[in-house]
Amino acid sequence: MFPAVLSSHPQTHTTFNLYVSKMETEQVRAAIQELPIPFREIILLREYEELSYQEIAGVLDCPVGTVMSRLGRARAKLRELLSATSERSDSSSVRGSK
Amino acid sequence: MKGCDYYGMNIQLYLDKELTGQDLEEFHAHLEECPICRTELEAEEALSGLLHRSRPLYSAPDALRKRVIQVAELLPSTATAAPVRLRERIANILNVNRPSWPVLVTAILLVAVGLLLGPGILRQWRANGYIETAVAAHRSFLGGSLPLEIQSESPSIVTAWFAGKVPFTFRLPNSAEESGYEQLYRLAGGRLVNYKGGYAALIAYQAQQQKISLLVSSSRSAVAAGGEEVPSGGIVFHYSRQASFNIITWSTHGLTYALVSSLPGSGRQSCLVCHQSMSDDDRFSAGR
Repeated sequence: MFPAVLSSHPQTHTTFNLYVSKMETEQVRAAIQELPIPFREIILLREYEELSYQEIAGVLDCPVGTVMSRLGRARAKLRELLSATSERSDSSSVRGSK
Repeated sequence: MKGCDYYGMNIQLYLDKELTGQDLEEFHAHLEECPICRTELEAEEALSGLLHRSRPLYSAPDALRKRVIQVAELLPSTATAAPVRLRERIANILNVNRPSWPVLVTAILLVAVGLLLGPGILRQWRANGYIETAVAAHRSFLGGSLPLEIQSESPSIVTAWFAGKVPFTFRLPNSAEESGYEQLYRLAGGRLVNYKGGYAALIAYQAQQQKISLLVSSSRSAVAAGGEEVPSGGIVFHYSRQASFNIITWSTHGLTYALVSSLPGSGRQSCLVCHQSMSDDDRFSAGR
């Protein structure tokens, strides 16, 4: 689904791999920032803060079922944004190689 | 029979460790035989791994996070990554009390004043505690609930009786008997009284049909402070009045004394009742 740059974690700490890792992180964070606020906050709470569904429900003051469904939609949207990002990245590198 | 649509929903729960018990077992069993769900799980795991790798390397301690939230609340114009609403909710969950600026300034001023006056206040507080103990002992002595354990008019006998009974070297204050003048009061005796988990010495005097008590303790556990201060003979006497009693406190030679009486006049004048014909008369009257 994602290009190799985005889907493989650098195993060796070469300069290139560190650069790729940095780019990857920047792209993911940029994609998260593009999410609508309800999606962004639930992604941050789950993936960054590692809160359980119950804890997220407490923070967001909503039922656990809502947490589940919103998280699913947020991830789908994030996947969509990342795919678009990687496509843009691929096309620009192709143009640059010409 | 449950199909891939059902288990597809469970992929997210599985990755988030929200799937347990029978549901987890069934999900594992389904994965074994369903390549479609395995592929979908791998894709979700890739996304999850990507998100985890983009997390900050270090998490701030809780206390620091709370402080950051407070600062963010105080500076609403500061651009932050987290949405304002999210920060507000996290702040609510953390139950952060956000003091207003006036409260903060007041608190800082109170701390500053406390630091400046702290030692003095503490000293006065300790002195007041000693006076209260002395007054309470005097009341009990007057009421008969603290009878004398040693009855003697001899300072040496009374002093010897306290030896080894109190956690300090007991010493009666210099008095009239050393001056050679006529005594207007006489020593009646003494007893032990409880003070700060140990013992203090309570000395009884008789003057003009009045009973006077003197509480003696180590200066390490008792201080003389506050009230009207009069230096005399290298000692600072502190005069105060509590209820109907005149109290005089002073410290010398590592001991702190609290004299309690109902003698007429102000605290300082009450001294002259006993010392009016003594050589130190001038010293006491000089301060008037």
